[in-house]
Amino acid sequence: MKMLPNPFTAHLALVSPGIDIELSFNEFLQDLGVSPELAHILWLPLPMFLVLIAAIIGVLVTVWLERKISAAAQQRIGPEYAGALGILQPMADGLKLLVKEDIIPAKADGLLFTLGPVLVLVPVILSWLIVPFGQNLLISNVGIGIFLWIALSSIQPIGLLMSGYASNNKYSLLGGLRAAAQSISYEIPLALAVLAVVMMSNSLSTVDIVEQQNSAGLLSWNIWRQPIGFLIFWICALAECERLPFDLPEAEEELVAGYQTEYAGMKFALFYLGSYINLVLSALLVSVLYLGGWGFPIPIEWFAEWIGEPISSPIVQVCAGSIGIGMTVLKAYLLVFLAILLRWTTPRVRIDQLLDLGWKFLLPISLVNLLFTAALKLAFPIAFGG
Amino acid sequence: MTIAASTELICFLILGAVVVLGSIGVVLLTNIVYSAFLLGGVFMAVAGLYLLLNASFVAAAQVLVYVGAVNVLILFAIMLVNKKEELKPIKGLQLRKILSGAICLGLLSLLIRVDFTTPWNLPGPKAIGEDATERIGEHLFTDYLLPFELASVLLLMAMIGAIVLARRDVLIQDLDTEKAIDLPIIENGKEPLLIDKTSP
Amino acid sequence: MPETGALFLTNQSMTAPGELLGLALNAGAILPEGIILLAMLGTLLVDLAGQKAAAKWAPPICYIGLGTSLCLLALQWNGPLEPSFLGAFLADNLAVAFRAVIALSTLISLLISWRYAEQSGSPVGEYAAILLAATLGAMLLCGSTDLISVFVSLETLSVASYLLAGYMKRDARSSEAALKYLLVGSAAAAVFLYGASLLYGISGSTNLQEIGVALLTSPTPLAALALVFVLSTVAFKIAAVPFHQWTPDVYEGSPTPVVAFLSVGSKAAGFALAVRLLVGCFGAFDNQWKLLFTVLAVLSMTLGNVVALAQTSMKRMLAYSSIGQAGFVMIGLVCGTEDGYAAMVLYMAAYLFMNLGAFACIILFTIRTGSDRISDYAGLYQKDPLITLGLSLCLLSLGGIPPMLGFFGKIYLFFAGWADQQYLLVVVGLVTSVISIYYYISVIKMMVVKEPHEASEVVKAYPSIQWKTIGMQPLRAALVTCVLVTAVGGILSSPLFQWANSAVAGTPLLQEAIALTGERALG
Repeated sequence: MKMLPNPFTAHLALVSPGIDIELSFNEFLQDLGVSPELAHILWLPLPMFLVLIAAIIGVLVTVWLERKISAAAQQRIGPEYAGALGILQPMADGLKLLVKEDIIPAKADGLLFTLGPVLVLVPVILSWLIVPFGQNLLISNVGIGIFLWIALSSIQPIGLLMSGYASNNKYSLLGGLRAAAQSISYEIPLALAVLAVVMMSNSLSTVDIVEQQNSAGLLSWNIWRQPIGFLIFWICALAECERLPFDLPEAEEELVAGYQTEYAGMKFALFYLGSYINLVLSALLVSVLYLGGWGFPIPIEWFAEWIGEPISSPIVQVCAGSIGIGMTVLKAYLLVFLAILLRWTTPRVRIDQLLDLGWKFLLPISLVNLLFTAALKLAFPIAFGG
Repeated sequence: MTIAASTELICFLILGAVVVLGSIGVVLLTNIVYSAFLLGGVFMAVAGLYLLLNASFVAAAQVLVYVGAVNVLILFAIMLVNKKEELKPIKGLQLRKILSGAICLGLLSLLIRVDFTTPWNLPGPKAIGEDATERIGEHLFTDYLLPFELASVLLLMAMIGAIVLARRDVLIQDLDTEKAIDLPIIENGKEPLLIDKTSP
Repeated sequence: MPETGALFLTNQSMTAPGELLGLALNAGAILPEGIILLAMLGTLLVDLAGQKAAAKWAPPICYIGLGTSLCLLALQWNGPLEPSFLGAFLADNLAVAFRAVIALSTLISLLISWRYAEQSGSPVGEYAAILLAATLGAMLLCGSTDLISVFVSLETLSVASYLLAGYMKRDARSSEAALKYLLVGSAAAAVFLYGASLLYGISGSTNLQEIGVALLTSPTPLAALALVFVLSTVAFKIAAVPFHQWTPDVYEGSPTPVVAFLSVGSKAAGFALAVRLLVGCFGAFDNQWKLLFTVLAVLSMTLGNVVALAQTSMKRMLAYSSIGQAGFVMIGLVCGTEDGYAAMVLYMAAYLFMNLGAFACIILFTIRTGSDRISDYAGLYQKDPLITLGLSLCLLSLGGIPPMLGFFGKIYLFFAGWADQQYLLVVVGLVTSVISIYYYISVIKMMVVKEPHEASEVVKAYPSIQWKTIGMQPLRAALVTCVLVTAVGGILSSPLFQWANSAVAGTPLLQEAIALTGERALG
């Protein structure tokens, strides 16, 4: 029987600068006399656990930001008493949902009703696998990278349809259908926008995509080469996350709360969590695809040269790693801030406008964008990653 | 047996069981919505099998196309026309079921028998893993270029056809005689058609 | 026998990365299909401008496309035999002949369909585009030498056919026909895929020639199973009994011009597929598939012709008779001799003209009267001599009465069968031919013999003949051409014979098979 190349060790083969925590961890354990296999098994759950925690903390921060920024937009103060500046408010919200009674409506389909939110949440969390915070700071540098995210995000509509159907409520069903329609309509321009970036970096891997952007700092970011792609991606990402102005599936005035109408307690919290994790994830991916990922606006190598320290020295490595994480998170949260501002300042579109925008505007534009990228790549191979 | 090999075997057994039981469920369940959701599960399990074969690109494509597109479309179709209808009882349904079941079992036993008597080419070609994406592209633009391009014609035509068939009918005028056309296929048709004139 | 496994190494996975990209594709071989694709896109674009523009411009675009394509096919005749797309397509003479038959059948089907489409209120532009797509699939199917190409082109043809069958969506029968066709067709496609996957599993290649070689070295029971699966798809496509159940319903419900295309173009593609798969790939199972095809042919001839006797609707009668006709063509395939294949090609070409001629006549009658019941044709010769003459000649030719084209085609088939000692097939063919002549003649009798006072109500109320409305002129042109070729082609058939013979002579695949059969007969 052939050995499965393990995705968690696959990136070890890459000889590249940057700190490699896994390698150090394994070596440390092996020094203690633990067998390599056991060390590997001990290592496996750690990054996943770490990312899960990171995702949830990211959501808590986003929820707090949402409350504060919406308050500012409406000239209110917002949460104030729970912790300093109300930073504990999201925790309180979560706790409330956690202990709330879990209701399954009498005529609902219990199994599907429970499975629906899980199917919405799990693919989103799995997609965090491919988000890089540094050269080696990601769970798995799979070769199909960004394609994995596109594939995983296509599972979500099934969960939405499932919960819409299982609720046995016409608003839920309509909301579920709308959500699924919206999700599959906007996935196509989204994928085409990603494809243009992939075409320039000659790789699907998120690490390669970031590396290709970091040759000259700020100037080499993809946003300058793909301005239209960036806009398309951002619009589609908002639509995929069902953020305003595209939150039709839960349009209160028409559909009560769409597919979430019948949900309460922890199941509702799963939807809520899924939606915010997806928002943070989308923001992270925008920064990876278009804003140079972990790269500092001025390349770290230049600094290292300037202070005369070799790039491989531990101190530079640690600094570069922390700056990388900081930059990724900073860029992502700038985008989250933008999304929140958009939410509290724009009106909601109608469903026909939404679908028109997706199919008749974004789809052709993204196709043209792809075509142009290909043409530019052939014409200027140096600038467009020939 | 190494840990990796036994993990692989266990994964294979689980995925295989999901595929087989899921498919049986898709066929036998009476609630069509359950069948459709189960079909999604089967597709996912198949993607898992591809992953076990170290074909991650194919696995992701399987999820994207089959779960994300095909299965969602099936669900859409079911949910949009989810009308309870009284179906006429079919005569001899029980007998038919037994007969078709027997034929399927016969075919299954034949396949199993043939499967065990064939000298399979084992082990098969080595998986190329991460390079697969590039190689697939290479093949699509060389020896499989013809079917690849033809598939786009097929899809275009299927899309146009689907729109033509699904488009709401307006009353059409004969360009030549300027008469409104409201007849079924010309032969045998003397009674006017499905178009409901009372509705706007 | 474990060591045979070592033989089946895959060629495809052994090529080095990037190696394939440097090879020449030789894509010029599919230029005729490219032209048809352009015509299809042109039709779609014209259709965007509205119904009137489509009715005006779609026909010339289609004519030009199909005409150019036919000219290019003529240029490919006896051309160099280089495989295109690294072995996915081969434009040998057999492929060229069948592609020409298909393109011609589309051209004639289009000529006879404009008026019909207009009068039944269906959008013309999309209709032409879908028909052209079906043609594209069918033509590529004829030359495909790779399982994937075969499958995709087969699906292009099939999906387009489903759409065409359901094109009169306002008629419930048309929708029923489309749905039935879709369900049965998808099942057939699934069975084909299963068979194809088995073939790939045995040989490690999707190329038909390589599969053929692998099967020769190790004919396993699995390969026999694959043969059965593949054969059932072929039988479905050519509507051989017992895979014919879809035919009558689909033919009755579909728009008549579509039936005309399905009964000729789609069937020709099915036969080309049969030759490619069975002769080219299952040479090791020669006896087995020939036996199976003998059974299919006997059943088709018998059932098709006997059931056709009892039909009252013209379309349904032609549907059953087309099942019988497919049975006759299968005789040539079963023979596996030079004459057998040539007779098959010849009969396919003859069938094109006589069947489409008959369809042109019944469409004209339908347009004028709105009926296709056989009894409504009573006394037609008084009112419409053209239809009477054309239909009589075509039906006589279909029945195989000398000196029509059909007679020579049939004689050639029976001669080839007799020479190859397929006595059963020939005797059944002769007997069923006589049966078919009976029901063809009874239609003619209905039209010609009845006195004016015995004429049907429909004929008594027959409208005055005029050719001015849109689409009538092409219909007349197609009708006259088909009838002329059917009538005169019989007398001047020797160039046709030569053409059919050189089609076989210019096809290495068939030559190899013939040589192989000859060797077996000797040794």
